Amino acid sequence: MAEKKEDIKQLFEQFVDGGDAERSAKDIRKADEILAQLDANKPSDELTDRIKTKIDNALKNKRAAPVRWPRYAVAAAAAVVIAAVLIAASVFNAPESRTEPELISAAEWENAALKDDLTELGTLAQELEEIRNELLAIQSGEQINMQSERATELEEEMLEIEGDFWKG
Amino acid sequence: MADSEELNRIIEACRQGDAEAFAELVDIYSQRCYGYFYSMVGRSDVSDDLLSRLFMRLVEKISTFKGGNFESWLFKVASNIFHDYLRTKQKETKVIEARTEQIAGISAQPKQSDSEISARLQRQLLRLDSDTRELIMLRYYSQMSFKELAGLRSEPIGTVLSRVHRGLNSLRQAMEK
Repeated sequence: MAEKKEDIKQLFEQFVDGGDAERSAKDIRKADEILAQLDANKPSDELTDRIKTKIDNALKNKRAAPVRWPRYAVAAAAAVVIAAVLIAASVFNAPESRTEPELISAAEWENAALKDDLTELGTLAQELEEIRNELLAIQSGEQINMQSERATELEEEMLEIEGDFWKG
Repeated sequence: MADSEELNRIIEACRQGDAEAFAELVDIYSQRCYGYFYSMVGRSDVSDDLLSRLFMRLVEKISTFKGGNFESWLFKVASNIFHDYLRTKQKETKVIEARTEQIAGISAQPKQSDSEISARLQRQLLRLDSDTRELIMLRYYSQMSFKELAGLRSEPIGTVLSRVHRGLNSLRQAMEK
């Protein structure tokens, strides 16, 4: 049975001198010969047949069983997903230092609208002033020949402009 | 015994789940593994069970064999199964007592051992301490080298050599009486 390939004497020589190593190696070889008597212990044919049948059944069950992820793989996948979510959350929630050059800030936008409004107001105020002056001239008799209807017309025009102004 | 090329083919087929290949492994190794178990527990019913467990574990674990000496790997698995059995039994002394009873009845069971010498050998093996007995049996049945045995037991090779030598010497002297 025992087909030892190693050199036992050489092994013993690492620990004892040559003569003792030789004797020890001889002891072991003799004992190996005696141990060969143990070969009589064998499994029965019924046992080996039974084992083969069990193996066959186990392999069939293994093939039939659905593929299951091992627990450690599931745990690792879950850890990766959680880490990805945490990283994404920290990135999107970080205080932003970025600028948006394409967009006009709210303040700028409001300033521009205000400027437009002021320009319009200026125009209206100028028109109003012209009409008022005209009316005063009429009333002061600078334009004596102007008919009274024209004065009334101008007054109405002025009131209309004033109304538009306050309506916005 | 299968040559290494043939053995590699069988192992590869086993990895693929080939029942025929496993059956070949059973044919090749069941006798040696049974001998190892029997020498350790001394009971045919327990040896039958351990041998069966061994091959069922091979079905599960064959994919973890990464090459190298298959027989060393196989007997490491067998040794683990034997130690699992011992743990289950809690106390090794009880196993030894059971072995003593069993060995006493060996002559009445010619099925397992039909020689008086073998029965005597079993009795003498029983007198060795459990660790030494396992080293001797592993070496004998698995053909592991002393270096491999030292690796398996995580012991210095000198310790293993000395233990096996002392155990075999006492076995030989007892048998020569």
